[in-house]
Amino acid sequence: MRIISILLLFFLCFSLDALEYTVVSNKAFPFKNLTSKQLKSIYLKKVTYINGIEILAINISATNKLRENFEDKVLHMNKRAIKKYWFKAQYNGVRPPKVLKSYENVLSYLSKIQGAIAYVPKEYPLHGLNIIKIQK
Amino acid sequence: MRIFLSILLLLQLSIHADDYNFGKGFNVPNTPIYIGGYLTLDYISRADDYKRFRVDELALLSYGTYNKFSFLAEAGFEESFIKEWGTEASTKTDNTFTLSRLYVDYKINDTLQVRAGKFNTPAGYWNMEPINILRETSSIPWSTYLIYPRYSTGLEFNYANRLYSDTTYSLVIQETKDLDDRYNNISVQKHYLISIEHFFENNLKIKANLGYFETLDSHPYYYALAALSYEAEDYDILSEFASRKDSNKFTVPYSFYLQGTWHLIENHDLVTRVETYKVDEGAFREEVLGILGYTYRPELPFTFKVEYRARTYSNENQIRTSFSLMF
Repeated sequence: MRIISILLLFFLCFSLDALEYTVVSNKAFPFKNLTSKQLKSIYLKKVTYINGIEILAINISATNKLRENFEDKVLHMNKRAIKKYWFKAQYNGVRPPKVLKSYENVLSYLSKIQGAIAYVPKEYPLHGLNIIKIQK
Repeated sequence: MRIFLSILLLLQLSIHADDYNFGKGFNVPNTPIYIGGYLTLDYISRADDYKRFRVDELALLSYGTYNKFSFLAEAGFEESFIKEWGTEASTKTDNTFTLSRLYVDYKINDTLQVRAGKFNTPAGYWNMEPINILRETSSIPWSTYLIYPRYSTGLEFNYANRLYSDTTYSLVIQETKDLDDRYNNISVQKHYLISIEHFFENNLKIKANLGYFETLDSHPYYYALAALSYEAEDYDILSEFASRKDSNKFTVPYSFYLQGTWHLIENHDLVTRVETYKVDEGAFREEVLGILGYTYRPELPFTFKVEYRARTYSNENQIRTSFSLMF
């Protein structure tokens, strides 16, 4: 019984860890800190320029658990609401954030594109990028 | 028929394109330009035995962003095919190509944007999402027809500092006739509008509008509108109240609707709406309407809607169904 409990705890810790993210950007991104609300505005494309730099939010594939967790915590919107939001935005000529298939692609994009911002798993090694501290 | 073939051809081409996702438009290769569109078919059956099938909307949409510039063009056919049964039995086709929106946006700085061209008048919330697939019901509240021109041709300035403020401001200046007034509810030669919108926590937002316009015969009108939108986990609320007057009297003393969308289970919504208005048509006419509807929105970009609308003024109670698709 004790072994099962330890295993369960281990898997729980592992799965929680896999859902934790770090918000990271290109070095030229104008901020080191953002509030959750500001990050939400960026991901909903209500903010597209900061200090004259075009801000480009990046998403990982739609079925990714980390993305689900990020959208739940930052956007406070369920899938239905997000889908509806982007349908309406599309009618007004606004595309959702760019989607990249792997974290390697995300990091590569972030290192090249000024103003790019994304989220990656917390344990992911990050070099030469700007880690954004998220405040409540 | 040629229109449908063109659409089918576009879809066929799109299926083979890497940059196409059904419902999300087609990215013209090596450009920031997207092309998509939408289609709406509807059918109504009224209590007075009138029945109608209609190809209501068929339009192409193109847009793109390049640095601080972006553009949007929307053009197509409105009510291109109508088949009616009952005392007004007829079949009509209309291949008039109408321009519903055409504009260019330029970001002056981080917070200020100017739009030039023909665009949705930023009054209330309903008018910002006017096409069938985006709406919760097939029918449209009367207040969106009675009060103000639904499209404006001119300049729109938008100020939004969403990093630090939850309030946004818009100013519309129209000093010319409509770019294509066949696709507008009121033909005007002047239109000014101020819009203030405030966003609260938890997906609640409110909007206030004050406007002035002159019809083609130089008749002046003033209008005011207040709107509210709230999106919760299990339901959405949308409401607008508006009033319009000319130099002498109120021509629409009030126009109001309150709509609830209840997310029953995934992809299936129940919609309820109550509307009331009073309008001067020589003599004042007052009416109350009630709408009970069901909307099915699957994962794919189409909707199926059915609604029953009861009216106090006429015997035009009706069942209305529609199918709409975005491609």
